[in-house]
Amino acid sequence: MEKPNYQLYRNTTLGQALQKTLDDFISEQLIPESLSKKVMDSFDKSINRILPMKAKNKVNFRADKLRAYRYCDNVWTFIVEQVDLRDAVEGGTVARLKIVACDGQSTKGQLQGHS
Amino acid sequence: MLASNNSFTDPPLENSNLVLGGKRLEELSSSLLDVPIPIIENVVSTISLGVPLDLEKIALNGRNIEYNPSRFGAAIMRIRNPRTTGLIFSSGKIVCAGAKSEESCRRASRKYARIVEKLGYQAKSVVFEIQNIVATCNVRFSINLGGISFTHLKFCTFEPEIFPGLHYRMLQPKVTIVIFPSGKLNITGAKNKEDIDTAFRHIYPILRKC
Repeated sequence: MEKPNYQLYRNTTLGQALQKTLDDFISEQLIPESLSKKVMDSFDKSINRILPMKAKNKVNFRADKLRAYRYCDNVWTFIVEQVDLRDAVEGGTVARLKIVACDGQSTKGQLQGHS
Repeated sequence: MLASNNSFTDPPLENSNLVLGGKRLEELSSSLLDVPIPIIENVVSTISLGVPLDLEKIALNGRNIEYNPSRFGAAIMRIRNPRTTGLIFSSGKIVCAGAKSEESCRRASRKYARIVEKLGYQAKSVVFEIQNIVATCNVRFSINLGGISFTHLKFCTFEPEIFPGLHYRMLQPKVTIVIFPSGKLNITGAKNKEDIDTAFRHIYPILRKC
């Protein structure tokens, strides 16, 4: 079964930068809007394929409280409070973290966070 | 004023209990001594809002909701106080389960109805009804289930090779009691707390005798 190409990585720094550049091109009429859409689709496809293979760095986090959760359309949303985030280099605490998790159809889930 | 009122009503009530007969008094005193009382573990109720609901919309806008139509047709919502689970159906009916008392079940149902209303629905009618009450009890002596199933054959189903408990289907009140040899009971199927207490008052002497 074909893995779905989630658009959720468009909200990453990389995705946002790409979107902005494309928007600039459109406003300067260098490319048509349809091409921008195609490029973003291609971006979704690539990042969904590459992230599980190439990204090796891990982040551990531990929250005091699960404020709210939601499960709808195969997407889990969690809002957690007082989260202690920690990776190999540094760590810190944030007051609230929203976790959006989609079914990756593999052992690794796909996660994205905004603080 | 209040105190005089109490002193006026209380003693006759107690007296009427005593007058009801020596047996009643005996039961009363034994209940003070060592007869346990059933503890309500779960209350299930339904509430009908009378309007069809768009569960997808509710799941996307509300909090603490799970909605997976391929697995279960209702949206599952939980609240923290009273700690209960609500099943929201697209027909506008809400089932509230997990409450520890009739009152808290009622409060929880109202909360679910209010949450759904806040998500943009106007409830036409709110009909609250308790569907089931489950209570447990430990009589603290071991019970010979074989004896009960023999003497109360009509009400019992007891197959120790399939299930270690004895199912006792009481007709009045209409509840089912599962009795375990350890002396623990589950009383289920009651519609109010009185049913639980009456059922226990009926079953306790039977257990005592065996």
